[in-house]
Amino acid sequence: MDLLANRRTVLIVDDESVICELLSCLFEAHDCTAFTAKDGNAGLRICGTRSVDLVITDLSMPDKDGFELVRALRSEFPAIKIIAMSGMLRSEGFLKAALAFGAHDTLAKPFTLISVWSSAEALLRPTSCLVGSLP
Amino acid sequence: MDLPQDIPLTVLESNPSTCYMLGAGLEITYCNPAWNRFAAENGGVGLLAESVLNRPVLQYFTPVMRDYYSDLFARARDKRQMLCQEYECSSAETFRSFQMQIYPLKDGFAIVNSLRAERVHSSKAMLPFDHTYLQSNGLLRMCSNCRRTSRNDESGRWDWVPGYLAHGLKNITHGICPVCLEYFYPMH
Repeated sequence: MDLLANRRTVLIVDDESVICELLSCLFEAHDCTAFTAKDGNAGLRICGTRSVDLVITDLSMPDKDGFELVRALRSEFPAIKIIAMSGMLRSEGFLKAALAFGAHDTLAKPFTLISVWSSAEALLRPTSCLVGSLP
Repeated sequence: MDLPQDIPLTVLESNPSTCYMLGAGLEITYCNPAWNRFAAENGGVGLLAESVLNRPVLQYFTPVMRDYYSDLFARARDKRQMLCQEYECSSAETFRSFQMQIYPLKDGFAIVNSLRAERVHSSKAMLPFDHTYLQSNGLLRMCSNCRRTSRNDESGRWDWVPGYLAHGLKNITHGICPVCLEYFYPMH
């Protein structure tokens, strides 16, 4: 059995390198392949050249921000699952907006690594019957 | 160290430090007068004794700290030892450092929070676009845990800048400062 066939790919988009490194370590520890990008434009380029299963994106970034990225992903790569993150005070409004834009789940910073993996694992779990059925 | 099975309330009543007691299930069973004074002086109307009694103490910790304090209480109970924990409880204007002393009792805990340091924040930066902090990409870098703001020089310093929180700025990017990274994600 080809174990790599089941290896999931996660893209972390955040202009804070420490967040990218932290989450990369988390996903690699869970046998995922992790890529990182510093803004939405770089993230989209990676999605166009790699097979990405899940994108975790910050909302507040220079250039193309997380909202624009979520909207572009839902339009251009509808099979990719998306988790939006925000560290803003009273971030609930931002995160609700991200869900309205098409994110599948949200995380408020500061997060625990357990909560990140729990959210990601649920979205990475094979659910072939759902693929393509989301708006 | 011989620990008391119980602590007379009179000892806590007259203590100038904020003190409270917890039941075995970590529910708040008592707050001393100093607790109410501190809450009233710092705008914590919802934290007065009448509001918090019989509620689980962990709900008053930030979510990311709940497991840590739950473990700390369990360790004090299992080892039957008084344990200490330093923590910060600052307002927008005042920096405050406390030491929490956890005394395991027969059926719960007594907690004494002693003030260790109190001073006006040293940072003078209050303007939203202070050049000490604004990064070259036009954003301010704030730690999502402690909410300190990174300077844009090579000093590596992260300062507490109350004005940035008070203004509710949108041009903020949230990372993790080195202290919080080591503290909250020690395995990283």
